[in-house]
Amino acid sequence: MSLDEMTVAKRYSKALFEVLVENEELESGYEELKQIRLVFQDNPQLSSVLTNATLAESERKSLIAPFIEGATSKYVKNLIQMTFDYGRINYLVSIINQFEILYNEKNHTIHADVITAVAIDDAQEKRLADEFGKRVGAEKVILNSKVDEDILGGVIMKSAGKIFDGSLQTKLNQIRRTLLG
Amino acid sequence: MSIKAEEISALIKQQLENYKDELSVEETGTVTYVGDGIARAHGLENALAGELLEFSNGVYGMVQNLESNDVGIVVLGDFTKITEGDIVKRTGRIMEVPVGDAMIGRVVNSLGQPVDGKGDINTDHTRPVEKKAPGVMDRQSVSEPLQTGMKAIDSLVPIGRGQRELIIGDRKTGKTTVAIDTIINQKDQDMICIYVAIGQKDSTVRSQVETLRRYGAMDYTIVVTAGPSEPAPLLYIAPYSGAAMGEEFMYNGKHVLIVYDDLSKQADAYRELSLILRRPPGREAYPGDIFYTHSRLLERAAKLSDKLGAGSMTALPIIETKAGDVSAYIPTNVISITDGQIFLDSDSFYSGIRPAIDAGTSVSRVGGDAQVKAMKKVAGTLRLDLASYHELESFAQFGSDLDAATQAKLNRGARTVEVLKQPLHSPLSVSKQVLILFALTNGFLDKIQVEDILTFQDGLFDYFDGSHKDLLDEIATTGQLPDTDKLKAAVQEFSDTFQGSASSEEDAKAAK
Repeated sequence: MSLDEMTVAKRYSKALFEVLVENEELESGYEELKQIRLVFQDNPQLSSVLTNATLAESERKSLIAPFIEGATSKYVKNLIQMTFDYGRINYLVSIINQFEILYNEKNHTIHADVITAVAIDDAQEKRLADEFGKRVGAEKVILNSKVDEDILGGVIMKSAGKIFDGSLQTKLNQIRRTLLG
Repeated sequence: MSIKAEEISALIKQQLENYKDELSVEETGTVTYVGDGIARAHGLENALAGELLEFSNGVYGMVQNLESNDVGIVVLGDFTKITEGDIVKRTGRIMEVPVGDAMIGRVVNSLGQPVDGKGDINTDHTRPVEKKAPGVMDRQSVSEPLQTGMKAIDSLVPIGRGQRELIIGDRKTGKTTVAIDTIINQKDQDMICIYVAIGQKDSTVRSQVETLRRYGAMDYTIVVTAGPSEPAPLLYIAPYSGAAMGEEFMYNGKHVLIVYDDLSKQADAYRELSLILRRPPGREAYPGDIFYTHSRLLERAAKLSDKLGAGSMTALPIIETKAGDVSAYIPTNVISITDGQIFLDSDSFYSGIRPAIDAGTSVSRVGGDAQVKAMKKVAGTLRLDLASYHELESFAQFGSDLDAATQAKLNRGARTVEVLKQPLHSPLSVSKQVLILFALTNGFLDKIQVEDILTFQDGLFDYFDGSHKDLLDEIATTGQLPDTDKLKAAVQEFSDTFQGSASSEEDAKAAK
């Protein structure tokens, strides 16, 4: 039975993370990986092309070549080469995502999605990030803000499998349930 | 105009006072697979086995599998509206069903929601569906009888309150009838009955409920039903829900009778969801914990110690066999868990012996202690009589010349079989059962034609109801056999006046 994506991603990312830490290339490696992920995310068809057997291997190799040449870290180069050779290049984004989780854990950083009804300014965002960091025990909070008018008011923060829901919409729903239930 | 704005706003204010403005913090996961009553979800890292989860459309699910990357969830409800990518939330609770007096007389589904169209059930009590059975010191041995009202059972395989007695047999041998008749006979016995129908056709359940209502048994019965069109998880959970409802009464010192009809279908439902959850299949493709599924359910039947109120829960699980094969996986499992079994035989059933109880293979391991003394006395030799009759019966087909002793044994045996027959939904009180068995064992029936036995029985009951009610009452109140001389004399009195169909024909001839 072939391993599923999640298992593969966890395994590869852990190995990569450990080797980068040992060789003190964590910061530069992480930056490179982020760039690679961006390329894959901007070109959604790239990963499927790279695993497409109807394309000649030489053609696929030429597609992957810029990544390998562009990467400065020996280990990132190897990672790309290896996932390509093993036909797991389509898992690369997941591997990088898992790597990011490990990286964040080490640096006590947390990523969070912020959803508000109206756009918030930088000062508000900073305050929100500080408060959130205190609450979950993280030193650094990286916020990704979105605007969703449907929530009417308040803030929803989503992070690592948890939802902190302070939106007006949810409160209204709760009141409705209290009154009808 | 009966609506008063002030009253309503006061009511709403009161309810709103309970509403606290709290930031809701919820742990969530994302559905990655859904189908056939189960779902898988990523995330939910802290979810516990058996925990209740809520899907975004309000349907609940229960955590079954905890794996390295995801959790396997059984969906307790409509899974067709759940889609990949949906959010699923932890609730931090385990599954509970409503319990209490308000449930009595109702037909509910596995979640305790009414399905009989009689409106909401007003009860604020709930109990967890999965609960550990009472331990060693919480129990005492079975001592009170549970009268099924069937001569063949009460005499040969007596059941005590708190016992687990399996009803096993092929399809169409009267398993459900035995259970339903037992429920009907619990009228005025201070018993609460729970009938759990698992995978039974909705039309069948409807007619069972109608039968119970007709005999006034719905006044003390709860029907839990999980029909064949419900998803497998609801069939799997149904007996546990029923047990939770029964436990509420048991722990309040009451006596409960619970029928699981039938556990083979529950095993099939559990096999289905286990296979879809990708648990490895074992023998007959059942999962490895199928034994535990049944043993932890039946262990919840108990006779509680006096300290805990001396309540009891008697379980009558039903198992359907295929072509009489009791050595299949599920039948052997449940036979070994229960305190005995009532085996129903399709050959006897079709030859007109109903209830078709096979006296040879049916046993009750603990019920003997609970049997009424009088019954014990008259039924003591019954099993032996029947066994030697069946042995001789096959023999007697060869030879014609039989000695008198063998002839007598055969005669007695044929009459015993006849006496143990009983029509549908007509349970007998224990005193009347004792009476007819007394007449049988003391040879009063030997002279009666086999086809006249049931007429003789009915006449005897009528005669005693009219002239010797004191003797019947004595059996009912003391449980002891009254003075045998008096009893014999009374039976003799009746038997002198009894005229069978054969003799009346002769009379008719003579008159011509």
